[in-house]
Amino acid sequence: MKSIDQITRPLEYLSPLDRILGPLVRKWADEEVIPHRRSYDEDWRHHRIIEPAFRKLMVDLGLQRLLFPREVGGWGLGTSGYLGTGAFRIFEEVARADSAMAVAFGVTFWPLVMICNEPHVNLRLAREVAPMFCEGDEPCFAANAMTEPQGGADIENLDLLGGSTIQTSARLDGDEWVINGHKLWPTNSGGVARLFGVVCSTNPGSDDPDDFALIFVPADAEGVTQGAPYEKAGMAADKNGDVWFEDVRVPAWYRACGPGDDLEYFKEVISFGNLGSIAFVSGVLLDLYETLGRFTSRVKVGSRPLQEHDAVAAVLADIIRDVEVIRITGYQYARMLDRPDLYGARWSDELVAKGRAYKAFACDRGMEALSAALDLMEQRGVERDGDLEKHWRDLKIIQLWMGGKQLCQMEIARWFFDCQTL
Amino acid sequence: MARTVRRWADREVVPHRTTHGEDAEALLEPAFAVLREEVGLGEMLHAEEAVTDDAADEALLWALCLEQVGRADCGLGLLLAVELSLDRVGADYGTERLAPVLPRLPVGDQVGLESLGGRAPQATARQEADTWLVTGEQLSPLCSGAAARSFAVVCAEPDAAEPLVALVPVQAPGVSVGPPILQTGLAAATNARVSLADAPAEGVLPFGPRERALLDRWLQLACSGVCTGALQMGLEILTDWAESRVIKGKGQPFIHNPLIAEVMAEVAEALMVCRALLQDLARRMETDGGSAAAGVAWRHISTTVEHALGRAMELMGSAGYAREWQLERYWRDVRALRGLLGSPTLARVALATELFGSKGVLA
Repeated sequence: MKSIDQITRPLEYLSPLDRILGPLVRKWADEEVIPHRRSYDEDWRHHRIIEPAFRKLMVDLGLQRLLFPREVGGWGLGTSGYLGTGAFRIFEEVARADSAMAVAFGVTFWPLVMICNEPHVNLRLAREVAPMFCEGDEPCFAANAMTEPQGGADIENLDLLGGSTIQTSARLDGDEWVINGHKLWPTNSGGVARLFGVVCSTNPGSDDPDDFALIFVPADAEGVTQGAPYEKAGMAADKNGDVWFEDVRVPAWYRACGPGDDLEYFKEVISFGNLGSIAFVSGVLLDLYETLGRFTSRVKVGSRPLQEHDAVAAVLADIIRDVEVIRITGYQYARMLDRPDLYGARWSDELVAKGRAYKAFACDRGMEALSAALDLMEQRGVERDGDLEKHWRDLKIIQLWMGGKQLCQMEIARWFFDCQTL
Repeated sequence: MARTVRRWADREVVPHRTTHGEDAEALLEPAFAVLREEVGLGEMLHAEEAVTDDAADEALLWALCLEQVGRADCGLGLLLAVELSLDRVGADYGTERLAPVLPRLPVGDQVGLESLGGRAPQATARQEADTWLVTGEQLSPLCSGAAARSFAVVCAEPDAAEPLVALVPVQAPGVSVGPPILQTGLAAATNARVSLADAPAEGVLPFGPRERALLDRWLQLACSGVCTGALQMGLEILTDWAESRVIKGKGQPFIHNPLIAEVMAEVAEALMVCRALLQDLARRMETDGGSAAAGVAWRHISTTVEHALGRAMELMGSAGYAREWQLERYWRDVRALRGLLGSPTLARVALATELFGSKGVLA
């Protein structure tokens, strides 16, 4: 069979990082994750097996410095012209080994997008939080605290609700924000994150864009409490839990971009969420291709390997067709985010809607491809040692998150069809 | 009977899931014992006389009972499905033929079933004096975890035209059972690798196309019932969620949102179709086309249920993915059941032989 490197990527616009970091991360995945990932599900609560692999990736390879500007000790990806394509390759390689690790790693950069990306770099704030990522010798995770009890998707539903349902409040008291609220499900909560980007309202109930705020809160600030991680269908390497903010005080300049701009640039967070999601699906499908290829060439039915039966080959063809399209689409979206001169701002309604469309396509087709592969592998497919059922369980949350499929559909329809009342 | 089984589910399993999750020892095994012994499903299963006069009625009765067991827990449903299928094959042999060779057919013991429809047997049997010895490496019988007391192993026998089925007790010499295999779901029915090295069988019987078809047919009917029950519970969980959650921006319960309501109707529609198909299959089980109908119904129902549970999870978002809400467990269990019963692609190719006389398509 062909190698995964022969699954198409648009070679004409790969990032300069690709040739250097791509093989490094793949080697890390092959040596540090793939041999151990069958034990990850049982490690969901304590991460005793998972944590050393994160350490190698984030500290030893230094990838937790990736997004920060060079002035504060980072690698400057956020200020480069290849943020999208560079990130896509790295996320894809991590997800090939374990999509939950890719989520935990990738989401660390999610709130940092607000302060590390051109043209809205907040150098003072970046310099303030950079040391824990760029100078420490421990893996350092960040979390975007968005979802709240009841109606979690409302937060991401920016077009319709404009932040009016956010119940986490931020009150300015002198030169400090006082934050109160309860968040659910942030990736890297459950005791993992050392830094939160907290979605708040400075005037709860208001849909005035100026009242939407993204404020950075160190996890060890007084008044921050993280609950125990939830037990889930999969995604063991990504912990989620409740986070409570009770009269938490942070300096006023910990607000990411300021009134109006916070909401504007938060849409870029959604764009990168879409990009990351496609990369995670694509990475999983690369592993599916390798795993399924090994299985169908080795296992015989009748006198022939499984893949030599016409009906099976037809299923394999449909799977690889989707893998090809998802990967190309993902890179194309990455390129669109890298070239605002051609495609518009990364936070534009157009790029958010198109990202939602590509993400929804990738997730739906990815789940179908995994299901078809599991069918072919029969009993072996549902066994952990078959290496695919974990991907099937893990990937489902990527289909569900960021407001779920229905919000994706509404945002896509709103933009393309100018729907007025959805 | 189905109503009684439903009451058992609502008393013995559903209220305790949050506390015990998928703990087989704390929840599922005791509940299964109650189902068999107090509810009476064990007695019904091994009754010497048919429960009803009409074979179709009996199939329908079992389908509806299995549906309720699946609504409680798919792994328990699979245990019952395997036992029921083997029992139907045993009944087909007739007491006179069965009793002398299988004097200790395991009533109430969990049986691992080494058999996948349409595939060549993975084990071989040979006769030495009066004893049949069975050999097979790394077999993967259904339900073969720690609880299995014996294995029904479909074997090739070089001198016989047709395969045999051998009953091998787990304590027999030459039997080695590996640790439980980690798998997608079905916590109550764990599997293990089983190797047999000249393991003596308690008895063997011919296992030709008739027996093969009978076994597959009942297994597919039973597992179709289990899946349908899983979707029934999935819809109950989804409805509970949609009635109790409010869209904050609009102040209305999710259930009144048109988009949510449409997807909920899609899930309900899937359940209605599956139930109709299941009941139709039960009535056609003993007809000429029963085997083909069972395969078609199983593939359609299991695919539909997995898809519909996935749609329900999509609506519920992270709540659908959290173990706390239990929905994801049914989604995993149904996926595991699908895998254990074989590839739909290969099954359809085999069906083409039956329907159209296609030759050599799986050679």
